[in-house]
Amino acid sequence: MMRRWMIVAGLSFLLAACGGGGSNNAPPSSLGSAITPGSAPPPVAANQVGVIVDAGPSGTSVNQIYVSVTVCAPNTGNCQTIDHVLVDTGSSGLRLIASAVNASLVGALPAVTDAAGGNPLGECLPFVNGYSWGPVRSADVTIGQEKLSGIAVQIIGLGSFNATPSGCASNNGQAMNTVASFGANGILGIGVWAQDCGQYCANFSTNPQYYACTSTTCSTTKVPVDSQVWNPVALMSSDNNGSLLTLPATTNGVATVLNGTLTFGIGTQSNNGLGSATILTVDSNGELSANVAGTIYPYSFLDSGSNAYFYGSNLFPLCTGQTYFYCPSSATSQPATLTGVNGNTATADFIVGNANQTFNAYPGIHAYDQLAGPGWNGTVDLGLPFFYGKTVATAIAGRSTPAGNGPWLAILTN
Amino acid sequence: MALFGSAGPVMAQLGGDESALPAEAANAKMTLLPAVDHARYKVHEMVDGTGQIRLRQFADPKGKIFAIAWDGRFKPDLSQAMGLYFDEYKKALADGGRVRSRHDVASSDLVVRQFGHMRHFMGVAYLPARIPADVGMDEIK
Repeated sequence: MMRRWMIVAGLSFLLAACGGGGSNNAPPSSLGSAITPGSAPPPVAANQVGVIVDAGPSGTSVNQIYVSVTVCAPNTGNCQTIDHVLVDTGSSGLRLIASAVNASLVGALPAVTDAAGGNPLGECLPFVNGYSWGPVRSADVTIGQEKLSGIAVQIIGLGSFNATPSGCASNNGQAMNTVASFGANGILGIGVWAQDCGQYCANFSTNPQYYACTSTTCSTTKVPVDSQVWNPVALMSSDNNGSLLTLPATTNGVATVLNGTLTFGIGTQSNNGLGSATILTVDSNGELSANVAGTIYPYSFLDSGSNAYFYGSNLFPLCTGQTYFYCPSSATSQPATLTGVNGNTATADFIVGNANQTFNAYPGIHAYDQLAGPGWNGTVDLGLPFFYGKTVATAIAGRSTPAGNGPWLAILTN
Repeated sequence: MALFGSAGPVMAQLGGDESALPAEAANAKMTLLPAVDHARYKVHEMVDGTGQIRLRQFADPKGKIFAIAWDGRFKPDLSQAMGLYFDEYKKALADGGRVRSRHDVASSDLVVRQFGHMRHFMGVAYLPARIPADVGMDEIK
């Protein structure tokens, strides 16, 4: 997952007169324009859970999609419903920020231990700009009506060990262990992998992700696949081959709230069929190729945990004051095509708008279609704006579906 | 089981000398591959025991390292590879405030561009003032 905060208040500069013309679906820049409020949450079936794009725990989230999960100490009534857990198709596994969980509940979650020494496991989860560190605990987890017993969950930022391993910090830089650093109380990773590390961490004791911790030190360790942190969808008793994330479209590109649905299973029920959607297989990194405005980006991916399109480097002027977003003088159409490893293609056109202009015009919005920023020359990170107005199917690696085994992605129009 | 103790002494690093690379590789438990000579610069690549974490270091004709690049399942030890510049890198990340994933870190003497998600991380770090003439940015990868 990746996320950049949008500065939604306090912008003091005046907008220059913007060159008109050439823009498609650009939100009008006049202040006070009406914003269509989000629709009511849709009803959910047994294999579904409601998701929401809203202000988030800080009140300042933009393009972040959340779900509530209920966590219990195994086989007890010691439970808590955690709201505003980020729905992340770019990772796998459930992680909760320690400060968002009652101490009495965290204290009652048994440690997951390494097979060899029986020592508690800690996990260093790398991100582009840092890392999250915390123990792996066992919990009963309910998502919608799906109940999972005794699954491994990472508790980020829980100071249960002597210290963060030096390798975790020296590889990755800064710690990101707080609700503020995620804009969420946790992460629900529902990506293409069944586990967060997989065979690599089962094979190699040098993996810099899983550590066995004594009272004094933590050392990297092999962890069998079964003991790793799993994508909760892959652990469900049925409807466990993937998921469909459905979000409504915005009106004029912006919204204060969007209510959507996460549906478990692909082609297993009457409500999770694929229709005629094109299947885009992805490589072992979860990546496929994107062509945006004639440039090929071979390491591209879909990521509901990113809050914008991040791609290229200097394609448009950067925004004043928040140089991690683009601020073109007028909204610019970007014709885009995704090509799966299987050669299938899907249209993925989007628009890059002027982030500062839009957030000045609509200070109360938490969804914005045209938010984009610079990334990496070879990559398009198609973040949450890409998911608006669509259903995106994520098939888990190695799992059987009516359209063949995962990993693959498919884009369904609502 | 590999013990992660305190970081060893910084022996080769961004801005440092290529002659220290064998010791750096040993310290990082990585294998240093034969250098590839591109005339205007050399590329020294080291790979970890799994073959899935790679770090390339770019040295000018005088043997000074002016850029590094990484690609793999995880990031390599960036503290060792960036050396004296690692603190500047961390500070730049922190200065992003609540910015969750800032790919670019740029100052007058250090530029870092990076990308990544679970199971795949890539990036480059270089010293703009020390890049040999006629070396294009697209060669640093």
